[in-house]
Amino acid sequence: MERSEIYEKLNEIFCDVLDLDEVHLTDASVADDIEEWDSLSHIQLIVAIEKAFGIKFTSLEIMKWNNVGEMVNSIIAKKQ
Amino acid sequence: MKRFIKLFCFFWLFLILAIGCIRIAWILVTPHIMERDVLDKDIHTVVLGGSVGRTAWNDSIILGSKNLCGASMTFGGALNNLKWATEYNENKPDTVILSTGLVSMVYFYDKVDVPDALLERNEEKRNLLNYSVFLDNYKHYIEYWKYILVSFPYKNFDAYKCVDGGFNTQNLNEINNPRAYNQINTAIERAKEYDGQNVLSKEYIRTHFTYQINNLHKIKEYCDAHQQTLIILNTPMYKILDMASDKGYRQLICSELGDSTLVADYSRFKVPDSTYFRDPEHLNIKGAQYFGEHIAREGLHLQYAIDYCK
Amino acid sequence: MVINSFRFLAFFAVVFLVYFLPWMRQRHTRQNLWLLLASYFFYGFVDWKMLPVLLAITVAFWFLGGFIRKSIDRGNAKAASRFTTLGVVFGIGLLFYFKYLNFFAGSFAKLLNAIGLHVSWSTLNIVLPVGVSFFTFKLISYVIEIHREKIQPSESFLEFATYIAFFPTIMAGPIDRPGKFLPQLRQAHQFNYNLAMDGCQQILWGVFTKMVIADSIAVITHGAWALYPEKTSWYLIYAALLSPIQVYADFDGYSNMAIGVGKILGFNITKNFDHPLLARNVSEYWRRWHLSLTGWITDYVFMPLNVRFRNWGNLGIFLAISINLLVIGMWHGANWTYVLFGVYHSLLFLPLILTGKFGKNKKLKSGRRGCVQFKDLLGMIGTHLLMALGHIIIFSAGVPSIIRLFKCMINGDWFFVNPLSLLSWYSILSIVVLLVLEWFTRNKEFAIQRVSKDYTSKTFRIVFLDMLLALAIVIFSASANAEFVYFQF
Repeated sequence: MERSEIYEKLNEIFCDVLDLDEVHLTDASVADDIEEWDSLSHIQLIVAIEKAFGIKFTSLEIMKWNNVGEMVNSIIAKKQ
Repeated sequence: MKRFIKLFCFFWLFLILAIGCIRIAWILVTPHIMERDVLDKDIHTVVLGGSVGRTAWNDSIILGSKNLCGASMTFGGALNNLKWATEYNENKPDTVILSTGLVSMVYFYDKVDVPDALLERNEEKRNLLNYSVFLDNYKHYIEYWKYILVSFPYKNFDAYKCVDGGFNTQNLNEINNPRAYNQINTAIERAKEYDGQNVLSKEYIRTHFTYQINNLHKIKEYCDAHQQTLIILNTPMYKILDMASDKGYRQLICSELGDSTLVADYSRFKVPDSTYFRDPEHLNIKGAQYFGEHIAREGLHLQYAIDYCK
Repeated sequence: MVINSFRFLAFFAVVFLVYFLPWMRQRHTRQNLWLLLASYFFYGFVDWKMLPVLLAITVAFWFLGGFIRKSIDRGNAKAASRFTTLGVVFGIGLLFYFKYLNFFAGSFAKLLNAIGLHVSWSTLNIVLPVGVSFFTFKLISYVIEIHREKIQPSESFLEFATYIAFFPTIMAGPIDRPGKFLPQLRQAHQFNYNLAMDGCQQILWGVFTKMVIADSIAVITHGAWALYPEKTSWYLIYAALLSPIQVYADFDGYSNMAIGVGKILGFNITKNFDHPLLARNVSEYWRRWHLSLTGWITDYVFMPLNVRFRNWGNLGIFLAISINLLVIGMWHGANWTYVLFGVYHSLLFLPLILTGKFGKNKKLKSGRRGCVQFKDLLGMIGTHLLMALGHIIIFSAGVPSIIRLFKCMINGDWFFVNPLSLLSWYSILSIVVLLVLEWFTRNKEFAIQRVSKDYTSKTFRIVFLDMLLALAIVIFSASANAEFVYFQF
């Protein structure tokens, strides 16, 4: 799956879960960038992402992400 | 950095000077507050303890004694009063009567678990409690605001005047009021907590009331050091806990203070009827009169702790 | 030794002067070594028997951190997990041994006795080493952060040992995270005048809240917790209502002192409180109270649980919160009251979770003329009442005491009645001042903080006001330990 495709889908998911009109995620995006993205909505996002891509992350993976870019890397790794 | 250090030194210097000036001014302006009252020359016995001692011992009937007990006074407070009586008077008392008993022992200062953060300041908190107990009961007697610059209570407070007020003037009789059994019921519940049996063992008391035990030891040491006779007094009670629950407390007295400690056990002292009591643990003024006259007439009947704790 | 004592003043003066000697300022290793020695001296002063234990644990965890990193580098994820688990178990085991062994074993023995098996457990004479709850948490977070690849293990043992034993925070926190603190040990500290002045301001404020406010209310609250059978109903209610203010003034005061000391040395220690009296609901309260602890537990207990329970919806969240609060409760000590406290608070979260307000973090805005809005005020008062109830639970000596206390409150009006003047006028005034300042300085770290440049431009004004405050502290301090404030002339 292409990186840009993943970002398209992620933007959709984020808008849906966080109740935003639009969002532009990049490799460097972090939770602090978006006001509505806190620890609780973080979990909701992960649930939605797992559902949308049909994958399951491990707890350690989730803890390790420092930014959206690393999360996308994990998604790509899982889809292969 | 030099500027910082200069400011710092200036700050502390100013503080010391300011405090010094205020203190000196205070002493000059209010000499009468700093005066300590003293015991009468003929006082040779002091009575220390909590409310049970306060209400039972009438020192105008039992001559030569002074009742320094106070409501909810802990052994720490009693120790402070003892120090005041001994060190700030010309003739120190030769007999020290400590009014205590299972109910008052169990009642005071539970071992309170303080969060770790405050653990190291535990001793301070205990001292503070002691101080607060003192203040709490005597504030309205001594116009506390005058003492805001005073440091140690037992040095500067007028302990003599403080204890004069209080319940020796109360003639209440609440023996039929269920709320009156609060203190005793607390003791009974505590006894039940331990192993579910009605025995408040000395181990339980020792581990849960270490504050009281420690100060009890300090009082004993102080008396030994100043050649004063220590007598443990159990004042008359209306409702007696059974022998079993008493046992732990008695054994505690023996083991903590030694077999040869003198005990005056009046817990089962016969009074004519219940109207002599304020509540199950405290005599009222009529009861104190009766009890006082008995003691003044017959003297204190003493036994060694080793007999007391059988 | 406590921070607010002359002993500490003398100790710190020496530490400070040597720390900023020109020769010291050249190398961070020299400064760190000095800090380490000072910290061990400080800790040894309080509890010298624990020094070898502290050193041994520090060494153990330092090696563990190294092993975890090596395992990750070799791609051996399993080994890395194993080492981390070992570290966590070891740390918690230590805590368990010192704090909870007697409690659990005793309770377990009671349970067995209740069902007829006669066992006897005489409480071991386990002495609780001071600060163990704080530095073990630092150690555990170190290994976990390495495992999560958020930090690199310390190359220098000196640096790591200094972080763990750092004297301003070793006794009572705040609990610094390695990611934020270790880098501060990697460069030499030059004396920063503005930061040091800010630190002094913070210490002064901490001393004020602790000695004038906290210690005077402590008289009431401790009287209530210890001697409740003889207090009137109103006294007990009064004490319960004052308790959150007392604990806040006390703990925040101490934290401010510790942070201030750190600032003088050029360190930025993590914040511990964010004006919790302004919390409008329980959730916000925990986002403002004892931040270093709740943050730690959120990162290492709550988040992993939340992640694990993520497919269980509201139930999952509630479960995670409950376990979280139970841990927070039990961190305080070994008693069923702490467990009950955790349960109580998790129940308070239930309505928030169900109405979806749990995660919401609404900013606190002021109303007309900068005053608090009425609905916010209602929330604050409501939260305060709930916290007061929680304090009755957590400060009682045991669960039966809680019940007894409530019984006394209801049956009240008993003996030794003292309805008037529970607090002196200046104590009441200082509480009012505190509450007002909490609101108007809610965006500052601490009430009397200034903008950094003011410390150089308006020095004399600030120092003058400080001296007035210091005098007020001296005069109105309720502490029975008069040595600090009163020189015996």
